[in-house]
Amino acid sequence: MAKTSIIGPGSVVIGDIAGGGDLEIAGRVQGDVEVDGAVHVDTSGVVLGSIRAQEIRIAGRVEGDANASGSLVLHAGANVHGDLSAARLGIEEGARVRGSVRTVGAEPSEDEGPLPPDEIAPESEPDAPEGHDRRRRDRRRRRSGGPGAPPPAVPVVRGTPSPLEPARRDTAPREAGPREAARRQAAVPREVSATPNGPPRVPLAVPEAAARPPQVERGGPPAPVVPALLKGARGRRRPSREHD
Amino acid sequence: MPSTIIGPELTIQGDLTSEDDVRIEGRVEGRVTTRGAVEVGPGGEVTSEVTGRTVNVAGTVAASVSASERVDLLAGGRLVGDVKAPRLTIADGATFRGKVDMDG
Repeated sequence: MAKTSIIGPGSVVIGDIAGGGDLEIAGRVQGDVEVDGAVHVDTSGVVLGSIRAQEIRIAGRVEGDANASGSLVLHAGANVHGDLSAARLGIEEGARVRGSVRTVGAEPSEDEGPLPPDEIAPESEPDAPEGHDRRRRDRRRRRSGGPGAPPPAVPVVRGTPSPLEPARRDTAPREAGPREAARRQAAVPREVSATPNGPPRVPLAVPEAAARPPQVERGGPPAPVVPALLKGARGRRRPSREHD
Repeated sequence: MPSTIIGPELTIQGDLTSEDDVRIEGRVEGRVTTRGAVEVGPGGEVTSEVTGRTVNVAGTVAASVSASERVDLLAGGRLVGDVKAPRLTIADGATFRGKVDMDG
């Protein structure tokens, strides 16, 4: 277990502090603080710099931003001039704050719509264009509830197309249009039925795909519903594949 | 119990100055200056000058050490730098390379 470090009331650090474990600051730090544990700035503590930690409790003076991946609490007696962000924020009566205050949660933000069915598909685009597919990956992760990406239903060998997924061109931008939509529609039930390497994934993928109309593609026309493909696509190549 | 403790996983990229006792079990990439005692624990490392009333080294100090009372280099300790203190002990098993001035 990592130890708690203490910057005592008579101590001054001129420079950055980084590392592991918890840190209690009762003295003065002129620099940035970044630890993977908890940071507690005592009433006598002064930090002239930013603080980044898993958990932050401030009862003293901070001139800089504070970012906590977990909780951030300002106690009475705190005097903070900087931006605060954390998954969970608390500000006690008597604390003084000047700056923006923002919670950044693990929940999807409201501007993201319901997830399209192909979010269940395994990831086989290691070099996908960053912004768009990173959001897909993030949402896929959140959807399955795990901290990391879920394991694919079939092993994905990079560089070769997996048996169930079409050969994706890594550098090509995401296709929009009926062909892509049909591919996604068809991909879902196949994922559920043919799982040689593990338990069937998310059985609710099929009813979801059937019940929910396909969502508007970012930058593309709405996908048509193709119920015939859903029924007949189990274990079979999709007709559109030859045209890719 | 020293008022300032730098834990084993912590690194300070800068100088540490204190009025009280200091214990270093992590890494300080800068000077350590105090009016009290300095203890460098077995895993601790200081890359620049250490100044205190008393200085104990069981870890590594890669620069000069200066004390107003005494310097003790313990077994397992490593000091590569000059020592300026009225009293000095170097334990069996310690490593030392530098000049010693006990007359100041």
